[in-house]
This record gives sequence, C-alpha cells and structure tokens, in this order.
Amino acid sequence: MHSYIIRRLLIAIPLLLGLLTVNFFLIHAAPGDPTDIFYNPDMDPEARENLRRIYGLDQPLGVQYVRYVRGVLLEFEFGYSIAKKRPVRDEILEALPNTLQLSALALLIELTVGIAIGILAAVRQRSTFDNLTRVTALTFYSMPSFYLGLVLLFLFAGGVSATHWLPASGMIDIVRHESMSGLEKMGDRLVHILLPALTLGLGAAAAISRYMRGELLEVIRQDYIRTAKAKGLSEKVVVFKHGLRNALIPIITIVGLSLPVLFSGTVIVEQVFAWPGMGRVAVDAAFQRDYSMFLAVNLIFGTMVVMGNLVADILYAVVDPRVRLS
Amino acid sequence: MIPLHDWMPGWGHWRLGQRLKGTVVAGLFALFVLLGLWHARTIWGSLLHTASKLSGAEVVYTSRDLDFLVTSLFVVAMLVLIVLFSGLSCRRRRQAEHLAKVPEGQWSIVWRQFQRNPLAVAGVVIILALYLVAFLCPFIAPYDPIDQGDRVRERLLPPSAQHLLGTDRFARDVFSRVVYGSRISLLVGFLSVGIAVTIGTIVGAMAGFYGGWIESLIMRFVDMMLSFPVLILIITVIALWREQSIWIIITVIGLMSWMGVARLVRAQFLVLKEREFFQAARALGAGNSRLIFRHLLPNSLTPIIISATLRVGNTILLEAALSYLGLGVQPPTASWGNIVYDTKGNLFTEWWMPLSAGLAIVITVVGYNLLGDGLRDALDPRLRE
Repeated sequence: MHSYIIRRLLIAIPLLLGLLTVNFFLIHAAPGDPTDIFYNPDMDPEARENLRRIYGLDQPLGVQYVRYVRGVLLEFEFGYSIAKKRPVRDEILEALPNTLQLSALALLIELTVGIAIGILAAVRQRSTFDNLTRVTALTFYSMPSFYLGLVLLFLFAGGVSATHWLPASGMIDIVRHESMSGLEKMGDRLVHILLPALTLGLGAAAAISRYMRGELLEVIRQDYIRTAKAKGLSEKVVVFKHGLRNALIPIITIVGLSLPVLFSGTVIVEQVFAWPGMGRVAVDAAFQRDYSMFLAVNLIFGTMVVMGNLVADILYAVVDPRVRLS
Repeated sequence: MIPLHDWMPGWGHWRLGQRLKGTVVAGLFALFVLLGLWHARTIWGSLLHTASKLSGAEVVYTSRDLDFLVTSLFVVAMLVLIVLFSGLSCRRRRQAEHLAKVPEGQWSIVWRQFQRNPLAVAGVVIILALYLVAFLCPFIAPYDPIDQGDRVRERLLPPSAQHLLGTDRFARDVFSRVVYGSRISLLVGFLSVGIAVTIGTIVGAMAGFYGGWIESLIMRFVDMMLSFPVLILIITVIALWREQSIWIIITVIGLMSWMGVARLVRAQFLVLKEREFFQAARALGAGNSRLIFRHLLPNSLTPIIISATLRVGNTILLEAALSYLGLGVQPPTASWGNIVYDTKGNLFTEWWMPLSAGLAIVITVVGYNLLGDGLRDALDPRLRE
C-alpha cells in the first residue's frame, strides 16, 4: 500500500511542475505587459523602465521563471498583484477557504443526491421514477450553472414569493452578523451557503446519478449477485450489502475526474451569488489583466485537481486491493 | 422522365405510400411558401437593392442588408431544393422497386434504429428548428436586435403583442435579441467542436499509431491539460488577448477542448491495431498514410461522431458561461449568455428576460444531448436489440 501511494505521489510531482511551467510561459507569451495598467501617454519612458525593474520584469524570462518557481516552492510566494496593490498570497489565502467550503458542501450534495437517485432509479429500472429522473437529470445536465443559480434565486430569494426565504448573495449578513451569538452566526453562514452549494451540487448530481444507476445495474447482473439471491438473502441485503459496495468503487474515479468541472462551476456560481472565493478572484483578474494573480489562480486550481485525483486514486486502492498490485 | 406529381412536394411520396415523409415535406414546403409570400416585398426589395449595389450604384449597403439578402436567398433556395428533393427521391424510390432486393447499407440501418427512438427524433427536430430560426432571424425577429427604441417611453416594457418578451433597459426588443442569439450559440457549437475534433483526431492518431515516446509525450500533455478547469484556462487566454471577438472565442474554446477526442482516438487506434485486417494490411506492405486513412480512421469514425455531437452541448454551455461573465461575445451583439448577463439585474422585476434567454440555452443543449445519446444507441451495435 505504501509503495502504491509513493508511486502515485511521484507521478503527481512532474504533473504539477509541468502545470506551473505551461502556465508561466502561456501568460508571459500573451501580448502586453503587466505594467500596462499604469500606462498613460505622458509617462516618462524612464519611469516605466523603473516600474518594470521594481516588479522584476526587466530580467530575462528564464531568470524570472527560476525566481518564480523558487518563490512558489520554498516560500509559498506568488508575487505581487499590481491591480490589487497587495501580495497575491494574501488575496489567495483570503479567498481559498471560501471556495473550499463551497466546493466541499457542493460535493457532499452531489454525492448524496446523485447516489441516492441513482440507486432508486436502478432498483426500479424502467419505472415512472426511473424515466422521470432520466429526463430531470438530462435537463439539469444541459443547464448552464448560472441559469440554475438564477432560477433558484428567483424561486427562493424573492422572485415569486416576495418573501425572502434565503439570502441572495454574500457569505454573511453584513449588517447583523457581528451582533449574533455563536450559534446564530453558524446559522447565518449556513443559509448563505445553501443556494450556491445547491446550484453547484445539483448540476453535478445529475451526471453522478446516471453513472450510479448504470454501475449498479451492471453489478446486479453479475454471478455473485445471483448466488447471493439463490442463498435466499432478501432483495434489500443483496442490493445494499453486495451490490452497492461494488458499484460505488468506479464512482470514486468519476468524482475525481469531475473535479475540474466542479471548479469551473465555482467561477460561475461565485459570480451569481457574490461569493468571495477563488472564482471571483479569477474573474476580477481577467478584467484587470492581473498577470501574477492569474498565474496563482491557475496553479491553485490545477493543484487542487491533481490532489483531488490523487486522493481518489488512493481511495480506490484502499477499497479495491487489485489496483495496488498491478 | 419524372411524372409531374412527383415534383409536387409531398404528393409524390404520399402516392408511393410514404405518408409521413410526404406530410413532412409538404409541411416544410408550405412553411417556406407562406414565409416567401408574407415577406415577398422584403425579399424582392432585398434582391433589387443588392442588384443595384452590384451594378455599381451609390447606395448604402449595411451588414443588416446583407443579413436580409442571405435570408431571402435561403428562402428561395429552400423552395427549389424541396421541389428537387421530392422529384429525385420519388424517382429513386420507383427505380428501387424494379431492382432486386439490395442489402441494406450501414447508414440506412443506423437511420432505421435512430427513428425508433422518440427522444432522439425529438432532439433532431429541436436542432433543425433552431437552425431554421438562425437562418430566418430577420424574418422571425420583429425588430433589429441592436436597435434602441425610445429610451424614455419604451424602456423595460412588460411582454405585450408588440414586444413578446418586453424590452430591456436600452429599449431593445428582447424577443428579437433572443432570436438573433441563436446564431451565436449554433455557430460557436459548430465551429469550436469542428476545431476540437480536428486537432484531437490528428493528435490522438499520432499517439495511437506511432506509439513509443511520441505517445508518452502526447498523453502526458493531455493528462496535464485535462487537470485544468477548462473555463479558467479559457478565461486566462481570452482576458490576456487584446481584442475580443466571436472568432477568437470560437478558436480558444476549440483549442482548449480537443483533449477528450485525442484520448478517444488513441484508444480506438490501439484496439484496431490488434485486429486481423490491420495486421493483414500491414503485412501486405501498406504505407503509413494508407494504414491511417484507409484502415484506422474510417473505423474510428463512429466514436468520433458520437463524442462530437455530445460535445456541442458542452461547448455551447462554455460560450454561455463566458458571455455571462462578460468575457464572451461583447454587446451590442446578442448572444444568449450576454442577454442573461445584461438583464440579470432585472431578475426580481422583469424576470422573463433573463429566464427566457437561459431557457433557450437549456433547450438547445438538451436537443444536442438527445441527438448524441440517440446516435450512440443507433451506432453502437452492442446496444442494439
């Protein structure tokens, strides 16, 4: 087991380095210059050169690259955001926990809703429920996440009802949050995270439910299930103890592979619900042409995906010992 | 000599017993005749206007005039094509009756399978209807989509007979904007997927055919690209680019989404390389290009077509997401994503604007996904009963 984990870790390292390298050169190959944000026609060319020197942009690209890699690896240092006028690291450390919170809850919703519906649809194959969830899943799967977000906002945050059941934006009630007790603060956070997490989670649950249904149906046709039934075990025991355990294994990989989609979704959902996370940082950086911020955002997202897949692989090896040996 | 009644759209098929086909053809023909008559003056005017421009007269000719010309020509061409189709299709049918029974071709089997699946047929109908709308925009939309009306009196009107979906804050007719928005989504879906499939096929074929270090290099690169959230990568590239135009967005989306196809083609090639027909061709001394283009690619076509169709929906969603962030198609050009972006502030008051534009996206993507699922079921013999 240990050797398997070490092997997987060793594969992840060059992947992360490649990610860093491709991103660095992609962003530096783009036309323009990070200091363009200060540009005005009356500017003294010498002042501009000074600016470039301050931010280290006068160095050859190779030197900048080595300096950047060393900064990231040794000091978790991502440079200085010219647009935000503060170190990129501070901005990231502020936004990252919010995104992780949101994605974690979304993942939880995705798994519980997706797996539950998948099991029910498989157990009652070709029933009304099966057909209904099939159509619903297709619709959710084909829906842009911002649209689902807007529909939920419309339904639960003051469209039809005119009663504001749930807050429409932000992480906390800015006016009242400070005066709340500890428990109330928790509740306040929970009602704020509910809609964005549902938007993100339900869209992804659609795909998971279809995979779950397919896997379970596949497993149910296996010989050992027939044996279990022949022994006289009840349908419930057969499906849940023998079938489900085996059907869940491939879902681990699928969830790992769907992580990039989940993170792409946070960019949109954070925009819809004004959630101050990494997605917001990415879009702000796009509008402000904030080079160093971009580089950091891409690196962090890439790293989260690689780590997520690593965890998925290890989990897979834990539940399915055959993988470890091959 | 083809009898006269065969040229009558629908009638010929009906006489030959193909009632459904006949009804569809006749219905389409009637639709275009009505459209032509309804807009006869516009069509005639547009043709005359273009003719005078071509003959060198000093007239103003805008892109909107070109729009009308294309649509007018489209209506006329469709009328001619439908007549030609019914005549020729009936003749082929009559000739086939005299011939000995020929074995059914692959595509005809696929088509028969496909027709049995009502959801798949619904998908095709949705997609064809959308393309029709996209081609006929100027005739369907009652107003110019970027024309701002009276910004004092016609701003944010509720839906009415004049403005089916009301007007936005610039007093533009939202229904017309939604109709014109179909062009962007269909264009992006079609072209970006075209780019992605082309690149993916070439790269995947190289990896699968040559193997060795080329394969390792390519596949490691693909793995790396797949571990990026695509949307964030696309935002990066588009934001750092100076000018934003629909063509750049199409290209960037295409360049960022070929990895899945490459994986698929490589896997398919690896399987096919083990098969006897390939070994035989190689033993006979076939060259690399012959092996690839005559033996491997044609046999990989099925999964490529399926994945391309299923990919169109995702691509449309990507463009919508970009436009929703304000990084995609730039106003005043209407795209479904930027209509939602423009009007999301009116969600709690004029909800019909953002919700209808978004619904258009959902319907389109559902259509493509139904079509893709149907194609997969029809093309994959293992699922056939």
